[in-house]
Amino acid sequence: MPNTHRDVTDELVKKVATLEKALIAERRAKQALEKLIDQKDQRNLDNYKDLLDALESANNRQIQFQFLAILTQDLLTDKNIDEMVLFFVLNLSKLMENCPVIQVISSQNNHNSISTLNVDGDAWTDQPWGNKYSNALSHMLNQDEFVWHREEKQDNTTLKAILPLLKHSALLYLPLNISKTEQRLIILDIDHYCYDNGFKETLNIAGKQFSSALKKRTTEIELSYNYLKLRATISKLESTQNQLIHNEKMASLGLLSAGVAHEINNPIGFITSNLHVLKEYSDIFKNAFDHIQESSPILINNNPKLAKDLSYAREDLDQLVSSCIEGVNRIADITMSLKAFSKKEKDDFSSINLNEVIKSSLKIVWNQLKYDHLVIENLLVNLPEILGNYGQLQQVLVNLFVNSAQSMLESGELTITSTEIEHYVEVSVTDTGCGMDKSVIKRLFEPFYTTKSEHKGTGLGLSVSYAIIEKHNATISVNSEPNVGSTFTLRFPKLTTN
Amino acid sequence: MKGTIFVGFAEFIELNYGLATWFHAIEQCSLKSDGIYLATEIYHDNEFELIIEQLTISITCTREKLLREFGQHFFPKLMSMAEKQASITNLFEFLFAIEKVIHIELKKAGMLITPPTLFYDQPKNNILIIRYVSERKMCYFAEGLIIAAANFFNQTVSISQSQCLCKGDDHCLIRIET
Repeated sequence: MPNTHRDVTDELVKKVATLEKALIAERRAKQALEKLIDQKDQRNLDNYKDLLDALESANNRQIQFQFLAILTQDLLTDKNIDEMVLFFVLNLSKLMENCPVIQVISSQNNHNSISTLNVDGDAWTDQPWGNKYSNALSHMLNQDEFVWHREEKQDNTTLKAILPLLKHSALLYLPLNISKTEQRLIILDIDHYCYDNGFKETLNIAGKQFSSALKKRTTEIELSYNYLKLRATISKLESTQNQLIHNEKMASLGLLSAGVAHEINNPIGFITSNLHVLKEYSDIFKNAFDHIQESSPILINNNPKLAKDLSYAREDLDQLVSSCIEGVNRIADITMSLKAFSKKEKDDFSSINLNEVIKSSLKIVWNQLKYDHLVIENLLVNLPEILGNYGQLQQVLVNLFVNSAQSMLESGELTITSTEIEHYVEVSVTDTGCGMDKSVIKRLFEPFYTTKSEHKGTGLGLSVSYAIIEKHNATISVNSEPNVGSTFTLRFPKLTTN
Repeated sequence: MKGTIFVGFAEFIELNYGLATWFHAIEQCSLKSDGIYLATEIYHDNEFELIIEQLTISITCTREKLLREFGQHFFPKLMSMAEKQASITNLFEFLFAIEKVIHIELKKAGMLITPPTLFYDQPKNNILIIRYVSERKMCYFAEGLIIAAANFFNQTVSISQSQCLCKGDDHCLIRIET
């Protein structure tokens, strides 16, 4: 029996050993097979390696290029700096797994601000500024611009002050020089910066691209602002040039007027005097003729033609002489006006209330206004006084009222307004008359220029008024529209500022 | 998951807990592959999870410990595969090479387009942060590899995970400091 038991055990041991050998052999065969398959797989892979690498690279880049394309498209739109920054930051945040973002704005005049964009936010939330932030942020702002910089929270003592603003363990920041007076900092509050090289390169490209776009936009804004300034300056120059030309013209006309007036004065003087004497003589001849006709009627009646001519001459003589005297008086008036226009020296000035001048001027022209026109007075109570010559100012206003009345052919409204504007007193005279077009307005203050029919005006009223206003260191301007009406505005410096 | 991992895991279990333990675990799971694995093929990730779950019961060990020990066991195999791709002289170079090895092994098995699972960031020369993104949740296996690699290169290392897929985070963040 014991031999049988030992035989069975030996048999089993042999079988186990055989099985172990078989297992080892199977394993070796399996490993050999796996090695062969692996080598075959490697050869296949090597054949397509370049193609697969290119395909993989293209796939990896696709998302990144899409991101850059979205940013580029936005940079071409007409957004202001704040809008550009917000759009850029919103997309960055999405790319970086919706990380929180902090924006710091630092201005030269120490107007600093911090705002945050939280997860899923789409607008900035302002945070209270603390002076303790200055060192940390100034360190970051002084780093190279256009480039992303990375910091670990725990390793950096400079960032200690801003740690309460950060939620995660690391941060990426991008300094941006917006202009000479403003810098900004974009801080991405991130968990980690574990991305492939392509992704990090995309981020760098986006940062540089955005920085360039900001510079371009800032330059455009500056150019635009300078352009507007330039236009305003050109406009002002044109206006000044026109004013200078006008003043020069007026000054030349003034000289001419003075010269003409001076030359005419003497002949006017003796013509006037001679005409008065002629009138006296004509009276003498008329008396002599009457006496002769009375005492010797046959003397004149024997020659009917002579009688008739003498009769006509007697009748016409008075009228002719009167007409000549009237004409010469008119020339004298014109000469006086020309002299007034060219007069340079200061007259007697005193403190004047323009409301009183307006009222007295209205009284003078009342007859021309009261039947056909409505007069509206908007006079400021307690109107400040100005320094001026009462008579001359009255002359100006009378001239304006008369012109207005004559422009309103049927009935109309004449509105006179006095008001105070900062350092000035302003009087405006508005009518609802026929108005003037630009070509008339341009020549309005030229001496002898008139739109009235012949003998209705000398064309000197407004030019004299202009001269008077100039002497008062004031300005006169006109707004007019054909078939609507005209407004003349006089602006005088207040007495305290003279 | 590549068959290499299954084959390596079977060797690890047989070496440390016996062949019977391995076969017992296989028999307890309903596996499509019936527990027969070729190193060059691809198998469903689920099979690995089922086997691990069964083993944690039969050998009374945590998933974490089991995977970490397996990682240490698998290091030589992975090192030999990595050395075919690049010269490796220290721990960080080995870790950088892992993603490349995974990538190539999956391509050889026919998975031509696969998203990367490991992303790296080296904020300083002695710090490497690895972000691991995968449904397989093999972060403890990775820790085992790191420990074995550090021993191999005679480097002291400290490892910490600030986020973990096993705890419900979106990814694992493994920080390695030498």
